[in-house]
Amino acid sequence: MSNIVEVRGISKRFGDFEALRNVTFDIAPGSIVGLIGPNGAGKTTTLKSMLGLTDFEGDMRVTGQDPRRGRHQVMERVCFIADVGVLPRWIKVQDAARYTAAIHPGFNQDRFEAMLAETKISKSQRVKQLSKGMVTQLHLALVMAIEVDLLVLDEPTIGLDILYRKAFYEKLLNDYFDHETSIVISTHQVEEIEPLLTHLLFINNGQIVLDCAMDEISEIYGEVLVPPENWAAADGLDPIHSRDVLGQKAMIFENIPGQELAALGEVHVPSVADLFVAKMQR
Amino acid sequence: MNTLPLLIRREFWEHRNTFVIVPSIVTGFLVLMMLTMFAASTSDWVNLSIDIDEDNRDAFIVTDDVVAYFLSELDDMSERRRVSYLNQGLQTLGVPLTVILWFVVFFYLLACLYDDRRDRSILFWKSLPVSDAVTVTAKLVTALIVVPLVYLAGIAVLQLSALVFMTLGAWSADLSAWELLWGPAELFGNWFQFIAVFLFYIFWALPFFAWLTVVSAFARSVPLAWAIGIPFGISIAERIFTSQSAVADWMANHTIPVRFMGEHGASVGDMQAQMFSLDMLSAVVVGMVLVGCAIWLRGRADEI
Repeated sequence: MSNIVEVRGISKRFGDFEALRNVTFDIAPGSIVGLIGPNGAGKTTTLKSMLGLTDFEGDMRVTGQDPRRGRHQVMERVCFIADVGVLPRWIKVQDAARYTAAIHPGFNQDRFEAMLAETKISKSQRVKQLSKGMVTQLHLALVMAIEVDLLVLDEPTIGLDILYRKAFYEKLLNDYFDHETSIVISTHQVEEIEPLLTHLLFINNGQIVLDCAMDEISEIYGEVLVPPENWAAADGLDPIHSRDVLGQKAMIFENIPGQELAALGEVHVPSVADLFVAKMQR
Repeated sequence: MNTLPLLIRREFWEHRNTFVIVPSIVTGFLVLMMLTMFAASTSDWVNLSIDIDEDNRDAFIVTDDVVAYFLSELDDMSERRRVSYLNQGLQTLGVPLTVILWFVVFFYLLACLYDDRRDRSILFWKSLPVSDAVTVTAKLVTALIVVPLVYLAGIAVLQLSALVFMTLGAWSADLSAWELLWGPAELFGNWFQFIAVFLFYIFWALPFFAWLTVVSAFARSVPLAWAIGIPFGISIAERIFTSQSAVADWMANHTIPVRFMGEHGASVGDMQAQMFSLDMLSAVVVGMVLVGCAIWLRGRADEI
């Protein structure tokens, strides 16, 4: 099956500021992609471009269509949660469901009700009466009741406490993900979503600095705890990052064969967070 | 699937206060006022002892017996005068709601593509498969057709209540309610005229209404200032550079309802003459272009 999203060299400027520079990536069906970067790196601009919410230069296909041409057609196959609290404050919970159900013929009312039953939200409440966490729960319930090809989450849990954040991602993985729908999650909190992901996309200063599958990380990257006597040899292999750990140096290497690394010290797979720091500082 | 009815319902969810509650309260209040007047009218109908100063009829006399006064007036008139007198009265009953309607439509259109950018809920609305053209159309249809019909219903209730109260008055005064009231009252004619005038006004003032949606779609703050400021600026520039006021007159002519009534009358016959005029054509063309601009701007609109 062809890719859900194909992005080919897109760029976007805001005046003098280059928000996106020649960004290229694909999203395959059934993948969960983490779009990770610091604030202002271009995460939201990338996602908004995919959703037809902003203009850009370059070529892009989302579910086979150019999002600039027909946002509303793309949205038949794509759902979107922009960070917390974009549901209109005046709307009643039941009306939000009624509206979404009428717009999306595939809206599954039973599924929505079941999701809602697990929360403290009552259907006659207005969004403004709900807490931040509850608004996110409601939005997730709405979105999860719709069957789509791609779910886009832009910092979906920002500002929520840890209980809501954990529950959000658990729900997403257990109740929603069915290996056919693809999910893109943007965040700058790497650790939280690491266990979910099948793919990583790092973005910095409007450029993709890393694009790989989670199970390729161990093949490409290695972190070695290098004792002082091997520091010189390690530097010769051009580590992409180095930090001090209790008198030793934890160095991350890119595309160095395993045997060479093993000669320097204890080798393991770098965490996404460490890899992120390495890539961002480079 | 046709989503327009749903989108219109959505507007009523959001604007229930100004679309439903306000006209209901105003209607209820005016009915109550009429009821009080009627109740205050004494039952002494046979001796219509009203202090009518025949030499000075303009000095409107407020007495407790407004109903009786009105009925006696009607009774004295020729049939032709009675028709115009009664219908003028009935139309006057509609004035408060019509004025409120104009302001409701004005502020609604000014906010309809602005508020959701401001509170960021545009990101929710745009995440649903509804095209920008349908979105903007739904808002215009709501403002220019559905809401006026709601207000017309309020006006109809007012007019019917007035006639019912006066009928009761006529009965107790032994006058024929049919002859004085229901016969000459052209209720359907009145409502038809309201609709005809409003339909005419929609197209006549389409540049004005569409302009409000354009401002609503692009303004990053204080849409009211943009909505008034830009036409005002154009008028001044025209005056300075061409020392004429053709554009300014055109804009005013296609905006201010009183002006439109004054120059072209609210009668159906006058409107027919204007219907296919060049003036009307220019309004519709400019209006459609502005609606197109609003749709285009909405497509590019983002949170602010």
